[in-house]
Amino acid sequence: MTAMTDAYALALLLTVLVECLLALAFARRGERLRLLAVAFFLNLLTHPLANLASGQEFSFLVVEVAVIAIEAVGYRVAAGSTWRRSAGLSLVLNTVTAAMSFAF
Amino acid sequence: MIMTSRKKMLTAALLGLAVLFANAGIRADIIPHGRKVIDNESRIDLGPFARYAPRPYKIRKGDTLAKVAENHLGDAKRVHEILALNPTLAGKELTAGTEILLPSPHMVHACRSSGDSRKAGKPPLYYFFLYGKSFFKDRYYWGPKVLVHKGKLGYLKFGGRVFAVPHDKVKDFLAWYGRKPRPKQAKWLISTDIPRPTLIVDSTSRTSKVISWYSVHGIKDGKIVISLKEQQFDGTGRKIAGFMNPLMLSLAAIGLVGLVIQILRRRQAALDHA
Repeated sequence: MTAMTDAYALALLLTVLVECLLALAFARRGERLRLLAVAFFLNLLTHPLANLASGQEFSFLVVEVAVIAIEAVGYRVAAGSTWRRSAGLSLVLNTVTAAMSFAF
Repeated sequence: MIMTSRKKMLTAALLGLAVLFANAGIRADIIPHGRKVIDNESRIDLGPFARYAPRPYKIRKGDTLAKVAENHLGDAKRVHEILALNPTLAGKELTAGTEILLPSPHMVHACRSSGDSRKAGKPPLYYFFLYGKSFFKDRYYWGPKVLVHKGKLGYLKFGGRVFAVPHDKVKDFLAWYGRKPRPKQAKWLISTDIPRPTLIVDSTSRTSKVISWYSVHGIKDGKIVISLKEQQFDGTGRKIAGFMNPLMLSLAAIGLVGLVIQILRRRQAALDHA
């Protein structure tokens, strides 16, 4: 159980760290702090939910698409980005972290 | 701070999603009482190292183990290698038509050249290793980092990786494997107290505890035939899920609250600006 918690905590930490850094890299001047906060809370919301969903044998692709959609809406509503930018940001960030999950 | 109907709908949708996922988690956690046994036979393409797998042999009339060992392994003293692969034959007379397993000639060669197994008096058994990680693919490795085959193994949809390692390589394998960050989820135990060389895996996931038996039945059409038997136990999964699910839901709730605060702040800033 400890190993499981440790593994999950590590996965969450890595995901949050990478997505926040990437969000910072994509952020425009003046919206950095807001985008960083939104990226942090969005990951805190979607990561555990995605983990719960994948534990129920939802296919990986379905879970990832749901996460991308939720995060796109999140960036749009909470960070005020345009729909296009939110969707792009969500897609890029989540593709990177999904690819990371296979690398490890 | 006034929430527009659009924001309210979004918040409701997010909360709904959280509830939906949470319910899915709780539902699947309810494992039927008692044990659930799943029998399955999988054929796994072991690629380049299929040649190390045991091969089937049908006992003929007049065969003795010593004779088979002499004819097929080149040495009558190697009966113990056959017995290791077929433990139920010990002390019994051979019946014509019975199918047994013989060590692979490649394996024999590998053991001879390394000398390890013969010096130690251990027969060339086959070891399968499994651990849980990876969402939709299982990987089969022969030695460190050599990808042999991608595929699925029955029930273990997201169960992870299976390793097949001859016993003389187990030490090296475990040394490498032990350094990997994820193997702690599965324990393994090799038992010869059953008809076939078998790996028993105790893999406990967040939602269930599953004991799996993988028995080697030799090679057919270039694929190793493995029977998989599993017992799913009630209770443990619920206990673990009972711990992990609230933890995850709490994290998600924090994320949701944080997001709502961000939305409200943005809304307030827009109002102030106006």
